[in-house]
Amino acid sequence: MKFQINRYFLIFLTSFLIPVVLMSQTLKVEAPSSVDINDYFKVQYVTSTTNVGSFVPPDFSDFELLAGPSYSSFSQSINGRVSESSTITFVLRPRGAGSFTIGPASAVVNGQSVKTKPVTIRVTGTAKDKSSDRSSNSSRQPDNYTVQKAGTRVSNQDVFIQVSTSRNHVYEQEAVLITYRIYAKLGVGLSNVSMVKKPDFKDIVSQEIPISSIQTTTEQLNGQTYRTGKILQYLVFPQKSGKIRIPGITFNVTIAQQMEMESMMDAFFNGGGYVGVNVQRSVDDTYLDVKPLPLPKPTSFTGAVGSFNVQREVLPEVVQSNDVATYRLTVSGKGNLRLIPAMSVSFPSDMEHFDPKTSEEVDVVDDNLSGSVAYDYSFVPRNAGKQIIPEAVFTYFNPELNKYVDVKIPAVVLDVKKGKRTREDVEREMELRNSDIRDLHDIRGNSLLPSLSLWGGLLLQGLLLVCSIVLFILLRRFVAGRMDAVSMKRKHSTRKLLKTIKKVRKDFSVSRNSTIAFAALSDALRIYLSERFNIPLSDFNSEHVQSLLQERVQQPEVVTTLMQILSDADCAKYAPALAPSLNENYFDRVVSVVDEVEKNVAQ
Amino acid sequence: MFRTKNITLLIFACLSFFSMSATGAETLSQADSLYRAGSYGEAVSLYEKALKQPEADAAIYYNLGNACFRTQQYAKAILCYERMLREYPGDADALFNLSLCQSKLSLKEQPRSDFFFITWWNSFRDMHSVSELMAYAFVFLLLCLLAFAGYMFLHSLLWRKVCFGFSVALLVVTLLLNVVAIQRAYIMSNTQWAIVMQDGTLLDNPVEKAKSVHKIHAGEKSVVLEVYQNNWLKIEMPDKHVGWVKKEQCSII
Repeated sequence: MKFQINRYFLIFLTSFLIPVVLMSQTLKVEAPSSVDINDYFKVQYVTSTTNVGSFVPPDFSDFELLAGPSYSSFSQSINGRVSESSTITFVLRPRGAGSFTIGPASAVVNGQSVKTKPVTIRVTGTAKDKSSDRSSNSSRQPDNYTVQKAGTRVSNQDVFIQVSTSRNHVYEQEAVLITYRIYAKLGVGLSNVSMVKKPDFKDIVSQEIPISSIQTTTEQLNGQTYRTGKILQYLVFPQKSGKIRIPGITFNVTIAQQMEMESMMDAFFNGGGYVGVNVQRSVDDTYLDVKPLPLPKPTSFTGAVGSFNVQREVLPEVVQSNDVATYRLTVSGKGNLRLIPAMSVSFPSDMEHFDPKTSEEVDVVDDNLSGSVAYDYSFVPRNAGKQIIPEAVFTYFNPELNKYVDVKIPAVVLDVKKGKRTREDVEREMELRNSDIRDLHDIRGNSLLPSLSLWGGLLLQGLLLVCSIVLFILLRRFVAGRMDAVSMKRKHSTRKLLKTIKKVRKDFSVSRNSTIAFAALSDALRIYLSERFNIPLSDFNSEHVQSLLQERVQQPEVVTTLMQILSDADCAKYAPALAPSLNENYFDRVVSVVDEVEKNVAQ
Repeated sequence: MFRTKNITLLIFACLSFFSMSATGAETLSQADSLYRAGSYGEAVSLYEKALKQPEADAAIYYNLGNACFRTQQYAKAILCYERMLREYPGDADALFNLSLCQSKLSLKEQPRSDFFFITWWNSFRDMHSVSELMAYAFVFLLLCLLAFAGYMFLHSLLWRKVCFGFSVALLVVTLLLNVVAIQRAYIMSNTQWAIVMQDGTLLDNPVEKAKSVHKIHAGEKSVVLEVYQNNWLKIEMPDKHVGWVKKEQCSII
């Protein structure tokens, strides 16, 4: 299946290549059929091979050649199939209205000599300015329209740079636009312009206006046609009165010159047949005549020069006590917007206020700065109630009217509501506003701890619960079993004792041997006590037994009687003469003591 | 034969995984060094590239947020911190930077409930991931069972009473933790939040010419209630205003 798809895909691809192959021995011309007289347009010659030679361009004398010929070639290989194309481009501009025909161009394509069809271009509209309408100018020299040949010396008339200022007599702080333009005689191929060193402005605040690409126009100078374009612009604000020097700048200019080539193929392999020639062009110092601002300066004047409007605003709309609010002054208009110092606002003493923060939205429009600058004064009203930020005056100098202008900033009456926040909250917020973000984290892959989903967690808990319940039951059973064994042994020992006493009594009634009977009684009692109270026979001495029994048996007389019987038995064993006489009553006493012990033993 | 094939596949999978994570780490360290050098714009694009990798760690959003902050894209920084906090709730650094961004945009603090307990409950829930909550619940259940075992098997009456009391208290904590975890998991899977990326207005209907209801500001966090024709979002602002905005105005966290 995979193979099949691949095969189809190949067929699909080659189906695109076939027309390319068929097209390979043609030279096509692409040009618009109608153009506006003020527009420039492209004429392109396209072939589907890079093997092109002896290209002979047609006569473009009805048009002005702005650029070209420029060559570009393209080759691409897909699955071993090579598709190629080359394009030769001319950029032209009409000299006048009417219908013009561009004759055929010829070239050798893949060894065959081919010719293009002639194209007719209709030029419509009317020319905008007279300098560009040069249709009647018959004194032009044909070699002006071809690119300079390599090795030609580039004279100061061929390429030069001029500086112009938008105004020469200005006030301090008034904007001046300085423009550097390059002029290149038609036929001089400009390829690059760069500043050698940035100028070092003194007593001037300057701002470079970026120029993304040089837009060229044509201009007539001393009977010659030049292409010209802005290469550098500065907007400057003089900071001092007097003669201010604008230092000259040196530029590196690279000019493309065409090399003599035998064929187009050579051109392709030798960088398009062009060589870059570097020349330096300098601009002399220029001077600005800066007038001082008229005296006396009003006290409210802080240095704004231009024409401005001021608006004031309080954010948020409802101000609460112990809440950070913003008093925003927005200066909008045209002039030295970036150089206006923040006004001092006299906040009521009850309000804590902070240094203003400036944010600007400023653009260069024509020869001045235009836009708005906002000054944000943060303030915190401490108490609820009516508060007034008093009215103020913003004064600027208008150089066009030659006078100082006052703008009234009306007072703000604030109805401060009681806020919920405390002084500490405000301090925390102000501290937050003035702090910096925490540093980057060191990210070293995922953490080693596995993450637990809800279901996973519940399942784990369930497992734990089940396991512990099982464990508890088992443990309980085990413990209960042990308890049973102990109590069974106890019951058993009592029964065994009573049985033994009965037997001894019977034997005694037959034999009447009190020594044997006492010995048997003593043994039986010892075994009973050891089993009944968990006393090992090894530490069986009378004091230990007595203290233990006193702990466990509630009535002391019972213990004393029991101990008496034990000592009687010992006595009968070692000093039979001192032993009490054994009779039925004695046996009854023993049985009753065992009963008493059983009754009074603490569980 | 079959087995060897499987093993080679596995090795390939491992290799590709390692190489992938290696390039991801490289991109990250490159982005970090660009950030340190002050080229924040390039750092932003590299962090974004790192985030496009499959299984990228959401922690990268924190660093991206910092880079956005440095390039003064505060609303985007807020979005990044929120995305990071979704996976790592309660990260102190991210919360701090987030509040700093909010103060840069002069955003008000979000209104909170008046009841202390509810506030506390909600903030506890929002500060912990489901995984963390489940881990806590497990530990508390274990402690609860240990206390219960003490109650069951100890002899002394006093100790048995103490153990019983503890086991009941721990059981309550465990149950609460489970409730919080379930609540959080439910909220995370059923609620979508969106950050307002540019100042604008809420509209009363999902049409261009609808009447505007309320002003919204960049960086505000809203709850997405409804999506209409994949082009309009009905959102609820923190101050409870509800309205429609174009999808491009917001970014979903």
